[in-house]
Amino acid sequence: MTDPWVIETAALTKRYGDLEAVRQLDLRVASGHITGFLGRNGAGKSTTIKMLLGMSRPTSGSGRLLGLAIDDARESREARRHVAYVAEDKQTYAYMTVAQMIAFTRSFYDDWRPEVEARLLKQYDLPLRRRVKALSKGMRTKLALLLALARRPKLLILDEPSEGLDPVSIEELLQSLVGAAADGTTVFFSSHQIAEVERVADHVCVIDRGRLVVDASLDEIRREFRRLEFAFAAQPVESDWRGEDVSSIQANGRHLTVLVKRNADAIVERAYAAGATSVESTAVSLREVFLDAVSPQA
Amino acid sequence: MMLFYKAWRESRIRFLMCAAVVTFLCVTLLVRARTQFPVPYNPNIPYTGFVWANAFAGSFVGGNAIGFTYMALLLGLGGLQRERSTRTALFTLGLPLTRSRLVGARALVGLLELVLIAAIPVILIPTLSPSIAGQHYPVEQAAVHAALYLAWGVVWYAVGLCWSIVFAGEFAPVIACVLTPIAYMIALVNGARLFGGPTISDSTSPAFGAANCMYFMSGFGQMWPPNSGLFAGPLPWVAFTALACVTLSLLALATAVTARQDF
Repeated sequence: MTDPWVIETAALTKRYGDLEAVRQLDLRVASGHITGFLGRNGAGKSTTIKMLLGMSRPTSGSGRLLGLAIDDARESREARRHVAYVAEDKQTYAYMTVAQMIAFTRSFYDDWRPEVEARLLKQYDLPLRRRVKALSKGMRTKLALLLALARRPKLLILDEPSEGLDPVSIEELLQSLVGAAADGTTVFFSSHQIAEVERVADHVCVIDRGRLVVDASLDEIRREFRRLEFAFAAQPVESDWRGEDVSSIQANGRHLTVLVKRNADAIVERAYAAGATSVESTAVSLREVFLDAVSPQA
Repeated sequence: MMLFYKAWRESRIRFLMCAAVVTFLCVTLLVRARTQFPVPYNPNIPYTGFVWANAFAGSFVGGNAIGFTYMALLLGLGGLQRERSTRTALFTLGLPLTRSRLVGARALVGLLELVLIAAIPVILIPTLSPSIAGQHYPVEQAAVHAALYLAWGVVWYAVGLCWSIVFAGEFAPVIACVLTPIAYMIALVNGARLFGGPTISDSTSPAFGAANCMYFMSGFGQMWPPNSGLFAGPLPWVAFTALACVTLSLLALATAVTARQDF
């Protein structure tokens, strides 16, 4: 039976001196999905990805990538054989031409697809004979994407893939991610762009100050996450409403706004029992969930 | 194979520069020999002695050995820390390779380049001596001198490789490479006094034998007759083995440090 998790970490922690970049991270990414990895700048997204790929050593905790230990050099190499990775910088060797860069990268993988390479070369309009150092930033990004997408990896990891791309190229990229997932590749990508994640991802993980604060499918977010606005006859006690199902609470006089992760119906019943005079329940967007999860009060 | 290609592409400008310098020095030596040999103030020095003094010892005591030392250090630079500053390190580390293989490929290419640079005088001096200088120079002697240069050259190469792994950025490893041979010679010269050992008056003193790199590389004290420039006696295999062990230890250290680095 194949492992359902392509990425699995347990209490994964990375410290740089006093700074805890990643704290006790328990992350699980399911096979066959497109997972968006959201977080603010410095939240720990890139550090997590680097640890997963064996580029950075965890201070404590453990992790597995495609079932292989991330802190074992040989197992990490074996995992990387089946992983395509696009780093945030998207830099490749400046002294090589586009053709040399493709030939160089192709030589390390058995799952290279020449027909996809040819299609992407045409689609991205990459000049084969031009040196990488003479390419524009957008072109370099496209080359880095081609080197990752021209394969049939089990897992595609992209760190801020749309950074530096124009809107048309972003659209092409998102289509490529959907296409890769349709081909059976699990996609895990970090982003600041909530709209991008909302468009293509079916699962979302939000990391904030090194901790995983949201881990849910987009369907679950649309179905379960609710903003409940209550009006009471008397001023409610905010602390009475805290609980595992509640993400955040805002009290304003006799009004209470509660963002709930699940069991909204039970909380509404509680509100009526506590004397709520009116209740309003609205669906929340991913943006609201994200902003709520990463707010300083969270 | 492509990893070797990458290592070659990243070091080839440095290699070609070093090769050009050595070629230039060899050719100018042979051109000078046309007019300056026999040496007017010492006509008894044979051509082999003239070549040794100018090519392998250098005009300054061990001067060419110092030059070769810096070439070896220069070839040792580069690698993942340099890639950190060009922001390609993550791409390289994303490839399905162990870090020891990355260091190994780079070390192999660099050492091969060093061997090729050391081979230039072995090829040029015996081959071109008859046509340019009108003299004969035995290829075996050139090979022996190249071996002496290489024995310490590989150590300096490994030192350069270690500094390029320890120090990040463009300049820090270069500065470390410039200072290391100087610090080494100062330590060697003064070490003798500090520990009550033999007094060393200059960098070519025979004290410490193979540990004195300039003395060893230049072949001082190994010529017989003294002015002949002909290496006499068996090759110093014990010293060769010891220096090879030092090189391998430094390369192992570089690999171990690289394996533990965070990017």
